[in-house]
Amino acid sequence: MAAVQACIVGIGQTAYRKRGQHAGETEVSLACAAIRAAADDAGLAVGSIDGLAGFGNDMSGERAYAAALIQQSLGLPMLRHSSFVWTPGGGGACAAVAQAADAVRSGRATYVAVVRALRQVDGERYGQFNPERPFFNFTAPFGAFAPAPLYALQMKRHMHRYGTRAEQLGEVAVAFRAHANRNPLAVMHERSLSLADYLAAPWVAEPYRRFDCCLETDGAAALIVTTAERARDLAQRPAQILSARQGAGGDWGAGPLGSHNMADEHYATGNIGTLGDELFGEAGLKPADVDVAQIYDAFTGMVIMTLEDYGFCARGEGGRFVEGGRLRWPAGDLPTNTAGGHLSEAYIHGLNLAVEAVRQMRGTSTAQVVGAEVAFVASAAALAPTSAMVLAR
Amino acid sequence: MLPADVPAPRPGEVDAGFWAACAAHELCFQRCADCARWQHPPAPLCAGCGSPGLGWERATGPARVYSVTVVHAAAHPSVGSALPYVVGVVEFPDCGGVRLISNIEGPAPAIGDELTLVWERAGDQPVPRFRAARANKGASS
Repeated sequence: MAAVQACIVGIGQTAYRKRGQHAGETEVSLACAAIRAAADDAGLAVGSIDGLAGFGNDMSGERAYAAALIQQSLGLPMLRHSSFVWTPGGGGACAAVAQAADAVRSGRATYVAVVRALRQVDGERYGQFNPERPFFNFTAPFGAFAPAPLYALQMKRHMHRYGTRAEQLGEVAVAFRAHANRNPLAVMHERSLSLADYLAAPWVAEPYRRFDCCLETDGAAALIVTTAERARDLAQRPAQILSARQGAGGDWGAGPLGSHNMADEHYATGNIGTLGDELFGEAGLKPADVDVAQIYDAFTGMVIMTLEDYGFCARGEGGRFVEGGRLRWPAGDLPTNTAGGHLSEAYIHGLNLAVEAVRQMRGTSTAQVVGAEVAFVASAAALAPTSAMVLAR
Repeated sequence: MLPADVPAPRPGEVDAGFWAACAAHELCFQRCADCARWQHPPAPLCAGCGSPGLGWERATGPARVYSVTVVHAAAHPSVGSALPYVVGVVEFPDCGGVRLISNIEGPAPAIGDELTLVWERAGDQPVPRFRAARANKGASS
């Protein structure tokens, strides 16, 4: 255990809106709004922030200048840390928290804002054709234009190998929607979903139906990371970062989005290598000690595979694990995505999941797990290297 | 299976050999001159031994369904008239088990079914697609 404890002291977000409904905003303006909200939540003057930690898959063009543009827009007098995680998309949320934690523990920075802003403009929608999409030549000419069919191929193999069933995928979608129905921030707050609704919805790419697939959200989320010593002078109960790490197995290549040549025994997994053991080992805990989980859910099947990857159940048992309401608040053994997740709260590349984990450690979730002491957060499975973290109250 | 106005590949330095072979209606994969490992998708170095000595070798042996999905939503206008269409991961057990994302003539085959290669076009570029081999049950169309 490091001598200096890092923790999350502030959380914030913009309104989460369906794609296209943040007219007039940019990703930089949304990021600034979320950081201001997180600083206000922490009781911290925004000008005290001296570090920015980002992640995603867009460090080209004007986006490469985002740290400096955010700094200028927020009026931060001195920036001492800016990092961007070297992994695509939602694999990097917990890694960005890890980089922020390292920066404050080493003393290079004092208050680091972790931020993700998304605004999916035409031509850059994750779920639609994009001429700039990586690995274009071996996907697009075959009608595999977007993640849904490519991850559907992976999940189909999981179902073939382990007997995972449609009703188990549906349970993930229905459980998270019920959580979103309690969360006023959730895009799907007012829309109920039953298993019958789930099964009656149109296919996107078999075995994935409409409600297996995440939302398209415009908005931003942010966290403030500092040391436990500085946290004592701030407004909120800190969430301690017991462990935050990256990991990837070695034969993955570009994975489902660009290869499909992973070894057979790894194909229908999140490819975390030994990350689970390392993560829980550093935290001094086991998966069974987790009170509440936030698991990246671009598709329902990712949740099932992630539960297996980190040892919440044996390989191949993820489908059976979610049965019987195990992921549901309040009665399930492992309430998961208690704000609704990417399927029903918002799609902010996993940072909104981290925000909800902090709420659970404070005791302020709209689906609060009574007595929750330990929260687990997983970034996107199958995007290598992925990342995860364990927080404590 | 898919219309000819589906987006065409744009060959680059690393995969030009694959598409040049396709233009001659030959399906080739990379194979390492040093360790004989097959690999796909194309890369500048062998993932087995790190050698840059990669050449192109014609695929041999059967092609089988490793995984399969039926796509019901058009994420590009060119495929709207083709819905639903089948995308598969096609495995070549005699080529080191390399796998290719491609299309399979409907209805969807079962995992493990044997496939026959057919050539269609994406724009002006011949591309490999597949249909069920005669021996499979229940995939007659």
